[in-house]
Amino acid sequence: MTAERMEPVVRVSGLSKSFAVHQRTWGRKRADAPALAGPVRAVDRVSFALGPRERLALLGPSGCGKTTLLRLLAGLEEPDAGEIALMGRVVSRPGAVLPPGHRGLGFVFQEPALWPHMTVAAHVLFGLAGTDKKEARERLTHLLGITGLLGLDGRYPHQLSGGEARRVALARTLAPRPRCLLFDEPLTNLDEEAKAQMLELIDRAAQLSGAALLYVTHDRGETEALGASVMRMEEGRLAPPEQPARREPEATRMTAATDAPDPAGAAGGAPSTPGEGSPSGSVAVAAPAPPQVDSGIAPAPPGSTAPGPGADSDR
Amino acid sequence: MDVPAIGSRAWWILPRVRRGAGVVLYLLVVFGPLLALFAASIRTMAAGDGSLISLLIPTGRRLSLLVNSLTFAGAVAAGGMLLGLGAAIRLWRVKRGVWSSARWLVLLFAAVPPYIHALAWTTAVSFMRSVILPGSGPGIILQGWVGAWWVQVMAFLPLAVGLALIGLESIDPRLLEAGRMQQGDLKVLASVGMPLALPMLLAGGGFLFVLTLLDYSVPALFYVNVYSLDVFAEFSASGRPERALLAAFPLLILAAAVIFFSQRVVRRAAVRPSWSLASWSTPPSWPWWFRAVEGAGVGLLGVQMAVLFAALAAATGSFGALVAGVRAGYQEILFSGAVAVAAGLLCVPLAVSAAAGSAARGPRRRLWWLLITLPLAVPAPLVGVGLISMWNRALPMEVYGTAAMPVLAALARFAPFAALVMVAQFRRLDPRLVEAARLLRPGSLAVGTRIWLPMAAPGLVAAAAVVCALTLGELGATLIVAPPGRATVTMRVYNLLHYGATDQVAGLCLMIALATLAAALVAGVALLFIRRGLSGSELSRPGA
Repeated sequence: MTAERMEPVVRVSGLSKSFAVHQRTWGRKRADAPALAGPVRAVDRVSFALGPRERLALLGPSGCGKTTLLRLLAGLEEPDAGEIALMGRVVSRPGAVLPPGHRGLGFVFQEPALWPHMTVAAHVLFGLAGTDKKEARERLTHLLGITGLLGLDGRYPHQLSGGEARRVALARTLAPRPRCLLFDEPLTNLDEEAKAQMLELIDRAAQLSGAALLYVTHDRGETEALGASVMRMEEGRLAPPEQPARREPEATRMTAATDAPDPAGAAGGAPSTPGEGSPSGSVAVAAPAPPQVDSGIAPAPPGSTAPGPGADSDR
Repeated sequence: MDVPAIGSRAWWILPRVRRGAGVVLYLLVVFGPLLALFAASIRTMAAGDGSLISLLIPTGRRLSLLVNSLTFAGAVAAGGMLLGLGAAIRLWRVKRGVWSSARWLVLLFAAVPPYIHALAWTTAVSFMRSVILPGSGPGIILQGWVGAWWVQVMAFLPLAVGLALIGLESIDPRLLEAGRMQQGDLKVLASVGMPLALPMLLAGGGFLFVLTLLDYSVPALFYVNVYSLDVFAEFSASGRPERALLAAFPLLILAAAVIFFSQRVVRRAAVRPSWSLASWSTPPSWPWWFRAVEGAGVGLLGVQMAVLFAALAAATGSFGALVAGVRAGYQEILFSGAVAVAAGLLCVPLAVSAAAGSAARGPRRRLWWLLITLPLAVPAPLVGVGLISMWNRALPMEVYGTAAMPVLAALARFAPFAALVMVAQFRRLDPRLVEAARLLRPGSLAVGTRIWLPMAAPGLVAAAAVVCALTLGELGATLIVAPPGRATVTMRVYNLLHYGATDQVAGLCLMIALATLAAALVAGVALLFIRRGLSGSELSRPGA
C-alpha cells in the first residue's frame, strides 16, 4: 500500500457556496421582497473526507444543498469559501477551479443526460478518447456486459427505456475509470423493479471499480442497500454522520464469479468497507482499499484529461 | 346560475366566428397579394399569352444573375454565421447579473435596415482612406461584390449572433456537463455542443440566405445586379404584375424550400424551456487560439455597432445639420411614423389569430406553421406588385393610391414575424389559467381583459413593436405602393443615397437607426418578459 493510497480521495474543508435570489415582478416591489432577496447559502462551511473505496450517502430534504455540494466537488460550481482536494491536491478554491474533465471523477446525474446524437457505444467511448482503440473496444464490451447493455451498443437514446438510459449513463461514467463516483439521486422517476436493478448495478460498479462513492438521495432505503455511511444535510450544513445500517442487502449481494469476466483486465474487487463516522462531523479515512485493487476501473492521475492506459498502472 | 340551452349554440358559435374572422383576415392580408398575382397570371395565360411561360425558367442573362445571387446569398449566410458563432459562443457564457439579459439586446441592431449600414460603412472606409492612409492611392475601397458582401454580412451580423446564441442556448446544460466530466471543454464543445446546436445554426444560416436572396437594397447601392432587383425591373419595364410574379418564381421556390426545411427547427426552438442551470457554470478552459476567435467575433460585433453610429454622426457633421435634415424631410418622417404605428397596431389581431391556429394539434399545427413561415419567402417587390394587382380595381372602398397601401404592404411582409412572437408567447401561457377563469365566469369579458390580456401583454407589445421597427426601415414594397405625392423617410433616403451621401442623408439615416432601435428595444424588453414569464421570484441556483 503506497502513501498515496492512504490519502483521502476527497477532502473538503470549510466549503461554502451562495446563490443570488432574483426578484421578478411587474416593476412593483413585493411586500415579502426583503425576506426573499439576497444570497441564499446553499452550502455552508461543509467539511468532510472520503477515503478510497469508502461509501458515503448524503441524505436531506429538497433544497438543502446536496446537489450543489456534488457540483462543487465535480468542478461545475466555484466555491465562495473553503477548498476541495482530490488525492491530496487542491482542485477548487475561490477563484481557481480545475476543469471537471481533469479531476478523474465520475458524475451520474439525476437525469441520464444522454447525448441524443450519439449511440450507446459512442457514449461509453467518449471518455476513452486517447485510449488504444483495441483496449477501448474491450472496455466497451466489458462495461456493456456488466451493465446489461450488450447488443444495444448501436441504439440511440430515444430507442432506450428509462432503465436502459440510466445504465448507459452509468457505463459512460465508469469508462474512464474514475477514482470517485458521484451520484445525484440516480433513481429518480424509476419504478421499484428498475430501482432495485439499478441499486444492484451501482453497488457492483463501486465494488468493481474500487472507486469511492458519494451518493445523494432522499431515500434512506437506498443508503441501506448500498451499505453507505450516512451524513444528513440541512440548510447547507452537515449533521454528524451515522453508521451504515446494513451491508450486503439481498439486492446487492455479488459473487466474484459473476463479476469475473473482464476482458479489460478488470475483476471483482474485495467488497468495500464503509467508512466510520467521526464525532467531529467529518468522515474519517477509515477503510483504505486492499493493496492490490484489480478492478479495471482504477483511478486516473490528477490533471489528466482522459485517464487512458496510464490510469491502469495498478492493475 | 342558469345553464344555457344547448340548442341555441350561441355560446359555441360566437368564439368560433370570432376566431374564423381573424384567420380569414390574416390569410387575406398576408397571402392576398400573392394570390391576386397568381390569379392575374392564370387569367393572362388562359388568354393565350404564351410568352409568360418563358419567364418561369431563367435562361441566359437571368440564369447567370440567379447563379450570382445564389452564390452571393450563400457567401453572406456562411460568413455571417461563422463570424456570428464566434461572438455567440462568448455571449453564451454570460449568464450572471444584468448582462445575461443585456446580451440579447444585440438583436435590436438586426432591425436597422441594411442600406443604412451601407452608408455607414462607405463613410467609415472613406474616412480611413483619407485620414489613416493619406496619399496611398485607392487603398481600401468598398465596392462591387466584395463591398456588397461585407456590408451585407455586417448588417446581418447582429441577427447571426442572435440566431447562433438561440441555437447554443437550446442545448441542455446537463448534456454539456456530462461531457465536461470526462473530456476537455473544447472537445465537449465540438462533440456535444456543436452537433446539438447544428440544426438551429443551419436554420439560422438558411434564414440569412433567404433574407440576402430577397434583398436588393445593398447590392443596388454597390452597382451589383441581383435577381431580386431584376424582379423590380421587370415590373417597372412592363407594368404587368403577372410578369413580375413569373420572373420571381425561381426566387420564390428556392426561398420557400429553405424556409420549409428550416421551419421545423425554428418551431422546436420556440418550445425549448429556459434551463435552470447555466451552460458554463465554471469557466471553460479554451486554448488561447479559441479565445482569440471568440474575442475577434465580439470585437467585430462592437466595431459593427460603433461604425453605425460613429460614421453616421461624423457624416452628419453637426446637430444643426441633423435638424436641417429632419426639417427637410419632416413630412416623410411623419408619414413613416404613421404607417409604422398603424401597421404595429393592426398586426396584433392578425398575429393572435395565426398564433392561435398554430396552437392546434396534429396536421393543422404543421399547416399553420407553413402559413406563418412561408410568407417570409416572398420578395418585397412582389408584395408591392401583388397589392397593386389586388386593389387596383373598382371597389366600393378606395384603397389603391391611398396611405392604406404602405400599411397593407407592411402587414403583408411583417405580420408573420408578429405571429412568431405571439407563438412564443402562447407557448409560455398556461391554458389552464384561462380555463380556470372560464369555469368561474363563463362568457364574461373579464376572462379576456383581466386574465388573458395581462398574461399575453408582453407578447402583444413585442409583436406590435417588432412590426413597428421593421416597418420604419421597409423599402422594397413601399417603393412600389406609396401613394402619389407621399413618400416614407426610407424612400427619401434611398433616393438621395444614389446621389451621394450628403450630411442630410446621414442625419436622416441616423434618425431612422435610432427610431428603429427604440422600437426594437420596446420589443426586446417585452420579449424578455415572455422568456422569463411572470413568476414572482426565481432562485437562480441549480437545484440545491
